[in-house]
Amino acid sequence: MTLQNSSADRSSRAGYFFFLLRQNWPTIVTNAIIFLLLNVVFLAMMYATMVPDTIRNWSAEMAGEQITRNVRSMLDGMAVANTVIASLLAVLWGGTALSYLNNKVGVNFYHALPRRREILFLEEAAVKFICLAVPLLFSCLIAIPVTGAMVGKWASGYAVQLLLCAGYGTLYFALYFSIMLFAASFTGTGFARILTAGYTVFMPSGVLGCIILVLSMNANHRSYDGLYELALRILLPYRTIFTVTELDEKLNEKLSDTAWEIALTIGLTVVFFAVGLLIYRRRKSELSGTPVLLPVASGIIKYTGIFCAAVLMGTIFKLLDGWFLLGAAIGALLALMVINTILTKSAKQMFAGWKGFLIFIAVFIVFYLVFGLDLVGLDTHVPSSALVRGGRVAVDGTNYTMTNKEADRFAKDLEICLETTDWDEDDVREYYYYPTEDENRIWLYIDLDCGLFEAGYRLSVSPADDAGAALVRDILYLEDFERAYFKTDAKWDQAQLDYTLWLGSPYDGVKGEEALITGKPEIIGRMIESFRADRESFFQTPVIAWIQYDSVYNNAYRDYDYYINGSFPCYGIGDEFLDDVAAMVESATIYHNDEVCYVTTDRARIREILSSAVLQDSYSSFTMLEPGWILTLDFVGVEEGYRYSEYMDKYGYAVRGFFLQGKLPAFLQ
Amino acid sequence: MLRIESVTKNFADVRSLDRVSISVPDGAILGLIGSNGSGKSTLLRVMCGVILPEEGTVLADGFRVWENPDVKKDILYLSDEPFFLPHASLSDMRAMYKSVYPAFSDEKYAQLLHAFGLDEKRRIQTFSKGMQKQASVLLGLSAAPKYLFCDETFDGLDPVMRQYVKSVFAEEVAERRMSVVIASHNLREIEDICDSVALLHRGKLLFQRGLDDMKLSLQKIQAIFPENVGEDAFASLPLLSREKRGSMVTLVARGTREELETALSALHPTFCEFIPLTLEEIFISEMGDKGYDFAELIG
Repeated sequence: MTLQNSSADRSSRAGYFFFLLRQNWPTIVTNAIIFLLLNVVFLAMMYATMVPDTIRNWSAEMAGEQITRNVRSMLDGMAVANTVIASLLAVLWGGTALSYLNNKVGVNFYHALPRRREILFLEEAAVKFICLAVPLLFSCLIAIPVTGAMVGKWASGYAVQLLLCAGYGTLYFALYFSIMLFAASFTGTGFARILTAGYTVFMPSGVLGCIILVLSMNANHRSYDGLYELALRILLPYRTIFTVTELDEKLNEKLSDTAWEIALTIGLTVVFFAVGLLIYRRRKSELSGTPVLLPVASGIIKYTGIFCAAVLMGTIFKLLDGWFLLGAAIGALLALMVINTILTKSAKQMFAGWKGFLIFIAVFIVFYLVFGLDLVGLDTHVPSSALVRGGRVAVDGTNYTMTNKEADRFAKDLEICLETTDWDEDDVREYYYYPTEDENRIWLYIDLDCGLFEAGYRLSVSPADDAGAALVRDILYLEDFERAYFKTDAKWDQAQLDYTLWLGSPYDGVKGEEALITGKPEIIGRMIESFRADRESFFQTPVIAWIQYDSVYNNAYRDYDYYINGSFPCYGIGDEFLDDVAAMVESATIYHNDEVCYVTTDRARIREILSSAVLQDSYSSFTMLEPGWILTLDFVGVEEGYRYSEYMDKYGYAVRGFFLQGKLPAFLQ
Repeated sequence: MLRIESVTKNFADVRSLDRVSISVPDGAILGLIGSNGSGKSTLLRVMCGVILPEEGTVLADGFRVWENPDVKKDILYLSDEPFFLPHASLSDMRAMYKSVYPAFSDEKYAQLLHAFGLDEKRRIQTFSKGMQKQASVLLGLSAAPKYLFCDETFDGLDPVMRQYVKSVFAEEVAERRMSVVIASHNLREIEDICDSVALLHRGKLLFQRGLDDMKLSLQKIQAIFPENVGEDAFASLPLLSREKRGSMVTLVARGTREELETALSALHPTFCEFIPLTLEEIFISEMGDKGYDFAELIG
């Protein structure tokens, strides 16, 4: 009777799917409006701001490039906005998807329907996916010609970026919707579903973060930055979080970060979806209304939640000069009460499982004593040299990868250093959180690769400390370090490299004014040689310039800190580089009280001006400057830059400078 | 033919169904009776493939029901609490049923809609409880299932509607040989429609028998006997109960009318009348005979 009608059944199955789609038409229309507003209307409105008045007088080519840059930057923002909205919709819809699982009447109805459970699950997912993806893609496709028309110049990159908006939005919708379905498959109440989904997303990194918090309490030497990275970026399923490629450089060589990010997001989506489907298939209908169907999941939710609450509350107590363990106990108890109430749907059960809770408290105390108070000396433990395979060392932002042999040596040196540096806890914290210029400490970050784990150490040394200074000097003179730091293999290949010279002060951490210089590799080379010569006094000299290069072939990107000895007061340009910098300047314009009072292209005069000038961001106080005087420099061969102001040159780029008090050039007085 | 074979289902520590075996022939109406918690609803949910039993199987026309859409398209379950899509009208629900049940009959839908007098454009959530029941029955019957499982379906229907629904059930059974299983704790509600009844008690099936068979095999007699007829005279009769009020004796006895007429004529009654037994009386007599307190059995 039944099996002959399979074609009729198939048509009825398709019919139900289309019925669901018809039922969801308000959702599709709402989404279409949202995404059209965002990707077409809002974008079109924003195009007006893409063409600022300040570039009207630019050459068509320069203006076009600037607009392209602005539009692309805007579209990058749109991709993020689309992704965030799609993710929010995923959470919203996922919270109500398969909602019949939360009540007996709904389960009786749906599970009595002539449909396999996996089909019910798949249909729900497919319909919601279509509800999001179709309007999103539709809006982005419309945005492509609108962008072309508004910008007035076609760039294929716009289309790719707009399609990426749709792609990223859909991808992250799928991920979060899968997580919600996964949570729905083994929960029986809406609250438990949201709780479980939240746990799935945040708990791995939350637990690891709390463990690191405890480990870091007395960590004066060991660095847990790598673990924080893991907790905050890798384990959280969002965007860069998936860049686990950073964990495996070999894999990274095969695929770009983006491709890996997408592949891993898809992979994670498939895993959550498949596990959710599997659990749903085996789910017992009679358990509708039960908050969490799987006892194992209940246990995980309960005790991970209690652990995090204990650590966080303990930390708050500690910050308020209270007892960590007292805060932890209070936090744990509160978490027990709340989680039990949610999981049992009864406040009367808030203390359920108190025996397990007491065992947890005992284990937690041991954990805190061992790791929080570092009774086992984890902080100062250095792995045996035999275990060390390799490692990385960074000196104030520089870094390179050590070979096995060097790592082995450093493991030994590190032991010596840890023994000779006599820091008490307060000293280390003070210098770590509030470093002062006067102390001029050098921070070393050393990761030793020991195969199964990586031990990270943070070490501060002073030039006055022989052992520490010797260690830093050893690092600086290492051949590998030099090669890694200077990228010597590529640095003179002018065909591949563009150099950026940044002039600025070391204090604000910003690069100051900047200009891209081409055709001047010899200047860069001299600066680098100068840096090498200055290595001996590495600790005493302030940074006065950075050099950055980009390689068009291998995406190499490198900052060099540039140090000059005995140079101009207040970090002006050193005498030995005045000729070089003057040679790069096409013209100098001097303003007084916002009026142009002097313009010159004469090299000798420019050199004279530079010898008296201090460049923007290279001074620590306006009181040091001659009031009302401003200098702008137009560089030769400037091709690109991204700062513009009222003091721009004809291309929109300039370097600003000032004159120190009493140093105004004689011809201006 | 629907066959439930030795089905066992546990909910945590409670055995809700204990090796229950029932069969429902095509074109038959089975009344499933029992007190609250006897396992009626659980059995219905097992029969329509909502719950998977730990042991035993449910077969419809020889095919397993569980996760078998080809079989389940011929099965419709009317739950004690009807389910409708949120904010749906009857018209929306019709579209849904139509997309799921290939045999859905627009003609039947129109006929029942007219008979029930429901507004198909109005949100079902705004219907009264009785109207929601009607909507549920309307949709269920329009789906033209071969097997219809009803859980307390007549609860909430007014007497007129109740009779109408019963008449539609009977019509469908006669015309399409639909099989119906009606679970109820109210015997009076189903006695005029069922062909057979099954009694569940604490998850166990106490018996399943045809109603005609039960009625023919049990007789209720009111009679007046001469004064010289003592209690010993009834000892040879297969009595299930005997009650005397004044000179009138009411007997419930096992056997056909002819057999009992012959047996009683030997006692020379001055008055003798066979009166029909209600289903409840049949059960009270049968269960009492087996040592059960019927009041406890059906709550």
